[in-house]
Amino acid sequence: MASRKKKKSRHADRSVSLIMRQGVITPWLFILPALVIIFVYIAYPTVYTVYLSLRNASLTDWASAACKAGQPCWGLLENYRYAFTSDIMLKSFRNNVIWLLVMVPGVTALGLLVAVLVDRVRYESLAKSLIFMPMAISFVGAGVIWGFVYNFPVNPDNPNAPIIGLLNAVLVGLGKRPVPWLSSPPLINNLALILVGIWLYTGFSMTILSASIKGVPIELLEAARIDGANEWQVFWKIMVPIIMPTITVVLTTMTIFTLKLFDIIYVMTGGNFDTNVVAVRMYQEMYANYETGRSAAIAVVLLILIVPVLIYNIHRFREQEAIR
Amino acid sequence: MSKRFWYLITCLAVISLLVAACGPKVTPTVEKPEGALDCKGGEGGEVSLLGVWSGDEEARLIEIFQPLIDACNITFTYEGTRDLNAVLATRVEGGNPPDISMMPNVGAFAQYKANLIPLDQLGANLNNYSQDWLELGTVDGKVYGVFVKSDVKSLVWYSPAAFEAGGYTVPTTWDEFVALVEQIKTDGGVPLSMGIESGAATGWTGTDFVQDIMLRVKGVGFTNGLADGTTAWNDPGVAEVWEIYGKWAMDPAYALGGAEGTVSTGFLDAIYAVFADPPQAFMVKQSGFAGGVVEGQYPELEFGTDFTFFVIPSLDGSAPPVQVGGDAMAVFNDTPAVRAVVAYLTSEMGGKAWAASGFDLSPNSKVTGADYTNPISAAKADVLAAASSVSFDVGDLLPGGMAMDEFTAITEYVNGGDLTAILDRLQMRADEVFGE
Repeated sequence: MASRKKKKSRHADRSVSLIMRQGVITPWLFILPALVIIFVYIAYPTVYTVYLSLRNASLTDWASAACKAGQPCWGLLENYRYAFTSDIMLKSFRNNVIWLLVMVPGVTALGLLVAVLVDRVRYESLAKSLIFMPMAISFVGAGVIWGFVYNFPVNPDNPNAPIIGLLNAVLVGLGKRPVPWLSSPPLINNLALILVGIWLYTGFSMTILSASIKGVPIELLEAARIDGANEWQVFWKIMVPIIMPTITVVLTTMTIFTLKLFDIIYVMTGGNFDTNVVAVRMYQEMYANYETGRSAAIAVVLLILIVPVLIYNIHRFREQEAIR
Repeated sequence: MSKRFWYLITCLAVISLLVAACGPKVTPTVEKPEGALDCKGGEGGEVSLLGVWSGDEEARLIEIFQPLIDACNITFTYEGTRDLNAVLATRVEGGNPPDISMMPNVGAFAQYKANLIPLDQLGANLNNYSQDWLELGTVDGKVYGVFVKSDVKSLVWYSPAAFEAGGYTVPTTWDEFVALVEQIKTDGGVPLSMGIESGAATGWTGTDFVQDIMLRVKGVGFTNGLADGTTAWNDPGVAEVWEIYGKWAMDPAYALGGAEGTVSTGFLDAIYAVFADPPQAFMVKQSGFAGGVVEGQYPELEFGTDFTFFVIPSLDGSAPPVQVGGDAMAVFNDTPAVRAVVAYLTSEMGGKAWAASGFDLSPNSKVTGADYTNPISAAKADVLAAASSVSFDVGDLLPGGMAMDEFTAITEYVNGGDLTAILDRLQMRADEVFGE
C-alpha cells in the first residue's frame, strides 16, 4: 500500500506530495484506536482465558493439581481432558453436531426456497416481512413463546383439563395423547428446539439470499429459457452457481451461530433431558459449579472450533469483493 | 398537526392520571416499631442490595426497611435477579460487588470469603441468633452470613374440603402418609402433584421432597452427612429413598401426568393443580411460600378451611424433623450506612419488622409467634417451634454449586435415567468438590 502511494506521488504536485506522504508513524496513529479496542476487548481476554483454562477451579493452582493418583490425567491440560472426554461434554458436543446437521442446511434451504418463491409473487414484500419478523424477537422471547407452544398439560390424562400448549392442544383435538416435547427422548426434543432456531433464522437467510437472487442478470435466465432449459435446470444450473458465494456466507454464518448457541437451550430446557450444548455447559461450569478453569477450557475449545469458519468466511467475503 | 399533537398529549396525561388514581395507595403497612434506631453515622447514605426477590417480595423488603429509611434517610438501590450466582460472580470479579447480597446458598460464603466482611466487625447483633443459624454462615471461624429469612420446607399442602369429601384424614405417622397416598390412588384419585420444572433450576422441588423422605426414613445424621461428605451419594440408603420418591413421581396413578408430567410441569402449576376447580390432585409437597402462591392465584380461598398444610409426619408419630431453607445477608462493602442496615436487620426491631411483613419467617430468636400477624406465617412458625430437629436444605449447603448437579440428577432420574449411574456420578462430583 505504502509503496503504491509513493509511486503516485512522484507524478503529483510537489506540495501535495508532502502532505500526502505517510511516515512510519502516521498509519499507526490512525489504527491506534482500533488496536486499543482490539487489545482490550479481544486480545487480552483471549490470552487471559487461555491462561485460566490451565488453572484449577478456584484459580489457586495449575490445573494439574486436580489430578488424582491412579486416574487419567492430562497434566496442565487437565481441564481439556474434561472438555473432551467427560460424559456430559460429549453429550453437549453430540447435540451441537445435531444442531449443525439440521439447523444449518435447514435454514439455508428454507431461506433459499422462500427467496425463490416470493421472487415471483406480487405480495413479495408482505411475505418477506412476515418471515423476517421472528428476527425482531429476542432469543429469550422466542424461547418463552415456543415454551408455550410445546407446553405439556398439567393433567395429560384428563382431556377436559385446560391445555396451554398449542401443539398438544392440536394432538388432543385429534384424539391423541399429548407429547412432552421438551422432555421426550433426545432426538425428538432436540428437533423441537432446532425448529425454534430455524423459525428465528429463516428470515435472515431469506433476506440475504433474496438480495443475491435479485442480482442474477435476467438476460442469463432468459437466454437459458430460450435455449430450452426448464425452471428446475435454470435454478440449479444457473441461479445456484451464481449465488453460491452468498449461500456459502449464509452457511458459514449459521455454522458460527449454531456453535455459539445458548439462549434457546438455556431458556427452554436449561440443558436438561439430554439437550445441553457446549455454550450452555460453559456457562453452567462457570456460574453454577464455580469451575472457572473448566469453563475457560470449554471457551477455548469453542474459539478453536469457530476461528477456522470465521477465517473461511472472511476469505470468501474478500474474494467476492475482489470480483466486484 | 400541532393541534393533534397536543390532543394526544392531553389524552395521555388524562389516562396516566386515571391509572395513577386507580393504583393502590402506597403507604407502608408496617407500624414504626418503638425504640431508637442506630444510624451508625450513615445518615443520608446509599446502600446497594442484590437479591433473588422481585415484585411483591421486593415491595415487602422495602417495607421492612421503611423504619430505617425514615430514621436515617438511607437510599436503597435494590437489584433483583433470579440469576444471582452469575450476576454476583460477575460483579465481584469486576471489582464492583453490591454492598449487601442476600444469598440463598450457604456454599457461597466459602466461595466469596476473600471478598466478604465478617459481620461481627460491622456491629451485627449476632447474639440474637441461635448457634445453629450462626454456624451455617460461618467459614473458618468467621461469621460471613446471617440469615434474615427462613422458610419451612417439609409441608404438604391440601384442601381440607377435598379431604373431607374423600373421607381422608391427616396422617400422623410416615406409614399413614404412605397409606393415604395408596388409599387415594385406590379410590381413583391422583394423590400427588409433583411438578419440578423451574427453568434452569428444574429439579429443586424434587430434591426437597427427597430430603424430607430421607430425614424420616434414614434419619437426620444420614441426611446431613450428604452435605459434609460423610454420607456417600451411592450409598444404598440414598438409592432406597430416591426409589420411594421415584415410585410416586414416575407413575401417573400417583403423581399428575407421571414422569412426563413431573418433569414438564412448573412448580407453581403443580401448586395450582391442587386448588384448581375441579382439583386435579389431592396434595402437593411444597415449602411454606406455597401459601402465598395459593392466596395470590385464588384470592377467594381461605387459609385453614379451603387450603392448609400438614407437616410430613415422622416414622413413629413423634415431633417430625423439619427441613428449612433461608436467605442470608452477606456484606461486601463497609460503609456507615451498611453498618446501620446490618445492625437494624439483626436487631429485635428488624426481626419483628420482618415477621410483621408476612415475608416468610425470621430466624431472629427475639421474634416470637405473636409477632406473626399473617396466619400462614404464624402456623409455619409453630411448625418450626415444634420440630424435633431442624435441617438445612442439603443442596444449599453443598459446596462448589453442587446443588445444580443434584437438580439435574433428579430430573434425569424421573425422566427415565439409570439411578445407579446417576448416583455414582453425583458421588464423583462430591469427591471433586470436597477434595478441593
